[in-house]
Amino acid sequence: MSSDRAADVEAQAQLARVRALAETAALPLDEERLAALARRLPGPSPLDRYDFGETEPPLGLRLADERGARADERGAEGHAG
Amino acid sequence: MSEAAPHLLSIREAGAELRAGRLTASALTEATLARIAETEPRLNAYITVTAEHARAQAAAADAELAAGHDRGPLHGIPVALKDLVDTAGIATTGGSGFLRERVPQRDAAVVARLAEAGAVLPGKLNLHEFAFGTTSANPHYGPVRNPWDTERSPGGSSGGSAAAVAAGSAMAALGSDTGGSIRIPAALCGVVGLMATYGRVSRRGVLPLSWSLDHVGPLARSVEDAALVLNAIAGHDPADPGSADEPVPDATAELARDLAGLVVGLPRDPLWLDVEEPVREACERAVEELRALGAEVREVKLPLLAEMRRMERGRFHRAFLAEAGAYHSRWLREHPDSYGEDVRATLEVVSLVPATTYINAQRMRRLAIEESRALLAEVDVLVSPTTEHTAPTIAEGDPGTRLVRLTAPYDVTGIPAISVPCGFDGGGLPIGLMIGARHWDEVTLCRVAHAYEQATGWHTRRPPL
Repeated sequence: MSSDRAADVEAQAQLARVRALAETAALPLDEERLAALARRLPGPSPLDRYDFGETEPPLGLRLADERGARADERGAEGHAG
Repeated sequence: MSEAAPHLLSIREAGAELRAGRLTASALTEATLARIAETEPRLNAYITVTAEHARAQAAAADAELAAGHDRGPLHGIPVALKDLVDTAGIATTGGSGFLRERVPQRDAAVVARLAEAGAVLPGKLNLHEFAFGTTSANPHYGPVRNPWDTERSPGGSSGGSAAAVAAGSAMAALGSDTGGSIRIPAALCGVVGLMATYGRVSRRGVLPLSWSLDHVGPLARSVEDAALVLNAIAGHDPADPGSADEPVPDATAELARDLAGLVVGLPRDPLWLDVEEPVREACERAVEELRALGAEVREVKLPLLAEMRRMERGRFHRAFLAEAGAYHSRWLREHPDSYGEDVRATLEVVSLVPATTYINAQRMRRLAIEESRALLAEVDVLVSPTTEHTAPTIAEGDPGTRLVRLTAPYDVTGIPAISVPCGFDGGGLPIGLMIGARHWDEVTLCRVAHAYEQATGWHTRRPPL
């Protein structure tokens, strides 16, 4: 397959992927906007390939772990021994 | 009496004049309104000027002072609001065309706190549409212009807030910061921008961009002024799920303390990368000034944040902005043509962030917070440039993600950060120095920024308007 042909196949696949995502999100996109979005939308995020290892749950909408840590400290002091 | 025009006094100076009976809140408000009338044709910093409302508030402030009721440092002081902060009975547009007629019935929490502190509202300030961008080139209300060069952007999204404070058409203002939207315009307009710890200031009644990143905070002409406004608006609010029930110290408490023994960390990678030469030179000189003031300076590393920058090509916080896609999803379906093209296009992109990517970004955030917290156990503050470059021209359009690359890590980690003026480039455009401190330690943050500011005096320069 020529490089042009391969690029075209890849572009069509990206367009199909974006069309499916946009339909799921109910985005009102005509063909022109859909094509523009397909060109702009980045590929899979490197975040999804990152090895997090054994991590704690992610944060919610606040610095809950900060307050949790403080509560733990107070608890540890309160239950020493 | 001070010889400066009333609207150019510091908050502390104006307060002294008010309490000595040499100035009234009404006269201060009239001076501010006159300055608005003088500068608006060139700046377009305001969407709504609330002259009669301000006059009534000022008259009430004068009456209270005459009766011996002193509400504190902001009593009678004009403080303007970014026009995404709800004001009862006064239009709050978010910089959006289709919210042009939106009139909230209730004040935002910060507005109620400012009113309790006796502040006067001169008006609502222009911004990047829905705070989703860094140019403040608003397609519905016109572009905000930089007071140092009106062909240039003030930065954003709180562009009107920074432009008004720099020009003297507000003594201080509130902005909001999701990726840098307080600190970026502060740097580009030569004023101080203070983003407190995530959860320090309530966002109830403030139109959201991204709930887990949004902060509300002051822009002012000095660190002390910014700290005084922060003191008035900080505090727990159960109505904001992100608000923290933490003790609120006086942010001005250590302004008089020197920097002896203080340890400054320089995170070269990632917070000094790709910085243009005039900005780098000014910030290197600022580091030397901090050393001369008694601070110990160390090179430090933030390897995880550095890796995040490389992975996401500087777009540290893009995955989190899926929250903006969620907030706007209904409007984007019902009023897609009502958005400016740049905001609509960005909303379309962030609406398609997969849930797994968003959650992995939150996992990464936790690690980044732990990393920065560990580093800030070894050093007292982090120092870097606020932006990679000075103000772009309005004609250049949106410079993409470049303007947020140095500021967004602080939004992601929730660390408090401040931008203070630290010089000018060859074209006379302001440069900002960014300082970050431990969670909840705005006292040290303001202490360091104030010491630097007072030693250098960059904050006293005024634009030629």
